[in-house]
Amino acid sequence: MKGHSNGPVELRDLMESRVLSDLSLLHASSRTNRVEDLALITNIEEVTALRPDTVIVLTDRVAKGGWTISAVLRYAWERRASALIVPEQSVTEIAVELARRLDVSLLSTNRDATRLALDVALQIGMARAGSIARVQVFSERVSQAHSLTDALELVSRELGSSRVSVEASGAIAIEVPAAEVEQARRDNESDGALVAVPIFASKANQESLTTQVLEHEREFAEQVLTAAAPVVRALLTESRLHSMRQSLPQITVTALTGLRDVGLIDDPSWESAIADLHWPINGLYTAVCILTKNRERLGTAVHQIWQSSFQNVPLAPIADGWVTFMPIAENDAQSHVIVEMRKKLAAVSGLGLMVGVSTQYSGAANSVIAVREAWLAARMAGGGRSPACDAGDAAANTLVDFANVSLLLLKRLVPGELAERLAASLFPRLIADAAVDEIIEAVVIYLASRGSVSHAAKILGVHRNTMQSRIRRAEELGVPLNNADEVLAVHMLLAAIAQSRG
Amino acid sequence: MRIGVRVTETLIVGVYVCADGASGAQSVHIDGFGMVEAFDRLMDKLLNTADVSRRAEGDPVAVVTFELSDVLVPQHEQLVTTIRIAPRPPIEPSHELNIGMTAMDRPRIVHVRGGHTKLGEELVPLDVRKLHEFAADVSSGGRFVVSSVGAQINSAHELMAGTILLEHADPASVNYSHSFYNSSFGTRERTAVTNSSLIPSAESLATALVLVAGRRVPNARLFVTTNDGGCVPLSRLSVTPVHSMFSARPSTLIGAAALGHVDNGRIMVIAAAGDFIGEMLDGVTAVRPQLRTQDGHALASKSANLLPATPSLLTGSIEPPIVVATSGSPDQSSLGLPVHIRAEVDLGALGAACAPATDWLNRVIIVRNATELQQSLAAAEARVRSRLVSFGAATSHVRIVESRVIAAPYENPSIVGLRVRGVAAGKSVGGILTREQSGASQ
Amino acid sequence: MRLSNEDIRHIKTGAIFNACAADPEWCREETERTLSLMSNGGRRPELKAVEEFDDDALIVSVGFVNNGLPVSDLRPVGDEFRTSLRLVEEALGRRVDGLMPLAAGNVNAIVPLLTGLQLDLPIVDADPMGRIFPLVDQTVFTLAGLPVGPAAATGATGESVLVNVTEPARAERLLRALAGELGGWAATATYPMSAATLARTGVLGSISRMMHIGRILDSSITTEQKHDALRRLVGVQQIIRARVSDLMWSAPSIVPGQIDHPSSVVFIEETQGKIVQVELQNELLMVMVDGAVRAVVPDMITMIRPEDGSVATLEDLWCGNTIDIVVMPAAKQWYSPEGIRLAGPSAFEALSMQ
Repeated sequence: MKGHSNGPVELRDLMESRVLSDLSLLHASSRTNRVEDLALITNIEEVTALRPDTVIVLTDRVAKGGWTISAVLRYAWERRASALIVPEQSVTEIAVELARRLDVSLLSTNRDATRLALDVALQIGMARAGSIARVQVFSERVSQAHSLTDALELVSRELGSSRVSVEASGAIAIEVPAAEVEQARRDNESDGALVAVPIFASKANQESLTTQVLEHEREFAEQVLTAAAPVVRALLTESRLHSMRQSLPQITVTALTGLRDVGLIDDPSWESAIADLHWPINGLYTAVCILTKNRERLGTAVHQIWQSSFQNVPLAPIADGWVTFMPIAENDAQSHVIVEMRKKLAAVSGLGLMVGVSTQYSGAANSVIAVREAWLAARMAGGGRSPACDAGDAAANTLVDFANVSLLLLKRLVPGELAERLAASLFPRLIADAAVDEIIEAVVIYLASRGSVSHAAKILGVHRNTMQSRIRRAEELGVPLNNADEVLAVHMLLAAIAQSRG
Repeated sequence: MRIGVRVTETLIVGVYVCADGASGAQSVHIDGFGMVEAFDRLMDKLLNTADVSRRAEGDPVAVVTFELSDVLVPQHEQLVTTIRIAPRPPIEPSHELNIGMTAMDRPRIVHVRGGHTKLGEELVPLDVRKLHEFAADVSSGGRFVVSSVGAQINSAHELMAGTILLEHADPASVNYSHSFYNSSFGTRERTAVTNSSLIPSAESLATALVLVAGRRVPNARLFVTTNDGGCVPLSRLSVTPVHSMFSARPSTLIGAAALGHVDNGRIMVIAAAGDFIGEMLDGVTAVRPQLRTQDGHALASKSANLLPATPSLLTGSIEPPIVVATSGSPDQSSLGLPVHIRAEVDLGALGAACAPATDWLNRVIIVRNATELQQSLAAAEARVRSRLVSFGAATSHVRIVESRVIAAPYENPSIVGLRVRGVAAGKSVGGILTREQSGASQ
Repeated sequence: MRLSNEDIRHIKTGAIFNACAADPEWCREETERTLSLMSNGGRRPELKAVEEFDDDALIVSVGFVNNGLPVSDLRPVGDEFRTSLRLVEEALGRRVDGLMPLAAGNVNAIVPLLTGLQLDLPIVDADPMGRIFPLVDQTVFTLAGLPVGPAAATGATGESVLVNVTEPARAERLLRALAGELGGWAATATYPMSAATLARTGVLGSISRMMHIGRILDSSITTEQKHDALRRLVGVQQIIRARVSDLMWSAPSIVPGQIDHPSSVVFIEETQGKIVQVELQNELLMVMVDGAVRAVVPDMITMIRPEDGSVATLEDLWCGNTIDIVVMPAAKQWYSPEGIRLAGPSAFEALSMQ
């Protein structure tokens, strides 16, 4: 039996079926007649309770009084019935005339009314099943889709190349655009209809599968979208689950490291737990930690930015941000990755994100350390928050490389201005000296090299003797370098000054 | 070939219609020699008409139909005596049934006890003794009408009374009310009385016409037109002349229908006596079950439903009628409709020639179930068919135009009326004449 | 007031109007009988309002009850109502003081005029129905809980019966059966009651109303003026002008005793081509326009001729003829729930689906 593209059962579908081919059509209404239901009238009172789009069948008894057919025709007209079927012997010319006047489809039969009603009901069921079958076939087809895009494309095709998308409150997550021809057609028609079907059952998740079709295709579109929704739901969930699974190590790690309170690190039991993890990364990686005070609000933006650059690296949520492990290819220097990230994050420096990157590591065992480093580095980031920092440092300080943490740490601990004052108080002669910058630089490197002159000289790129003389000069100027208790403070102070002076 | 002859007081008009649809007319004035002689001359003229004599071999005159309403005259010399059979006679004159005839015609009434219920059961036994007494007393040659209560269902008492009269009263005629179909006792009686008064005139007419026709066209069957626009054998005229008493306008309508080739639809006739509208349905006129005379009394005779042409008949979405004007009538109808066809021959005579042989069966019966009903109806149809065949019609030409069961109000549902109308015609009225002959102006 | 010939004729016209298309022949004949008796005897029937009677005056309703041969076939000889009234007087031990019609329409509206003339009794301007209903118990008295009997029935044969019955439905069956056995009709005397009871429960003014209607319809004013007069003075609610398009007689059900022969007439309304269907079962019972019910019993539905505003009858129902279908409300008692039960659509086979 032919289905008509719009799905719902129409009177002509019923008429074309073999079982009902012996009905005489006395008047065919010019309106398209949908058929939703069947009513067998054994008592004239029953016509008052008819719903629209019903096929009415009169029994012999009710049709006996000639006036009853007129009265039922009137009700059929008022209640927008699909059609009226009456016994052949009760048909009068006037009934046909009235049917014409009221434009109500009128048919007659010589079959017993009850049997006929059963046949018609069956046919309505089958016709409805026919359109359901179409949707069923589509359902099967779409369940074979192996990706979301695939699925949406199938939906679009079924709806005549309409635009199909997954949306949440107007924001489009995934879209298959309408075919050009189709779009032009739809643009021309004034009766477009936006059809949206929720993908998830929960009210919390507002995501819906939407499409744009013509008004009379609305019902069919709804049926198709509804059929596709479970598949879309599955695919969406699968991909998100995949992401989740991908970030499972991170989650576990962060849970294990209990990074809420830093410091709880070296529990041996964790070591073994970590060893059991299926570590997904072969080779080098670096941990990245993104922190923000507004995790809820900025979540989507962060994901979008991250996805656009690093879509294969899932972000794992933690209490105040995200954590992830970024694989580093052999050829990529760590710095390259960091430059890349800095560039992207520069665009959103105004969001107040704090990003930390760990040093390079490999293997599951180091994951904990890596995460800790990244987290600490992120804590050090967030320029523009501390009043002691210059505004100019803001962008640079959105992302912190752990390698540079100590520097930042120093800045945090000993802000530049304070360092100057302290130094001026503690080492006045040094500060006043003409070669103060050289000397400070030499001392800082010397102390960083743990007292190895030759090492320090190599770092600075000067002769050993030059380094030696600068160190001696510092001491002469009052900077204590041999007292173990003071050395760290001196180091920090001078390093702070060196940093603030550029 | 068929010939229609319209007889008036002063003129006899004859129209012939050939098998191939050609037609023509002749007329003769009635002078001092009388109607019979005039008819003879008319036949002479007709038979010698070129068309007719040419066709004498291949298309001889098969039927001659007379339209005699103008010359059927009620005879007043002898009063009719009505034998009224009812359980009791009225207690006073005002309760006497007055069938409304003029003092001249008012019959003498004799009350006899008797009568049947609507179910045909005897209400009161027939007072046979009184009837015998009366019959013995009354002078011979009287004209009698017998009417009994409930005779439509059970005519036993009427027949018994009639038999006594026939055997003992030496009557000129006995007419039974039950031979006329009507729900009103008074109407049946009135019809029987009127019929009775027409018989002498009818008898003499029929005899005369038969003689002439027998000489001129010995092989032709003779018919007379009836009030319903049909015709019956001339022999019926002397039995029920009342059915031909008002056939003038119905025959005119048939003539107009033939000219206009109308088997279905309305026709308006412009005539000197007044315009009227009639309707043809399936080749026969639309009829009313009874007709009303000038004074408003009803007669139980089926008559063509002819209405004076009034504007209300032309309003609405119904199609306007075909307008046929008799020769000599004005160009436009009184209602402003243009004339479609102007008749060149006498429409009444043409109608007589074209009128289909018609038979009716009207009966009240008691049935117990639907099967009996169907059987009775089938039997009635068979009756009508066989009567039409006995009129001389070919079986294949016989057609039942109407066959229905009527339930009358206020009566027992097992009592129903049967009504069957049959016609016999080789061609339908609208198809008799050839198109060129009609003189149509469109 | 003493009724003149004109008055009688007007009442006849009004009675035929109220009769909603029954055969007017009996009514005409009864009127002729009345007029003939008036001219022979020189007396005139006296019509009085119910207030003009003493409270305890005995009023009895007279009328034909039909079952078989109509009155025009089996003719009354003229003494049947007297016989019935005498039987009721004997049963009640007193004389009748006034007569009322059994129905406000058709022959039964004229019967008390003729009988009153014969017996020199006044006629009360009131009746039990306010219109015509087919059954004897379809009266406002039944609604008021009053008995039908003691009632009497006399046939054309002269046989008579006193019927002691109170239950109205039973009275109807007994009288109907008697009518059949007596040959087709019975001249009945029913609903004996005091003038006070009648004043309280009856439909008052019925005869003068029929006279009024008759006066309007018999006059020579235009049809339009007659329509207006009917609307103003009698409360006519709708007048539908339409052309007869089809008539249907449905085959009777062959079960004796069951009245089941609805007839239908289809009209096409003049101005907009609407389909008007009228259902008849002796009276006009229902009017539908394009399938919607516009009037139904107990509403009074009748017909007049458009050309001159005279009353139309069943004879006027032939294809192509134009008729004015007239709708009037019945007496208000009929619109109560009990009234609808007794005389509404469900009481008529043609309209009920039991």
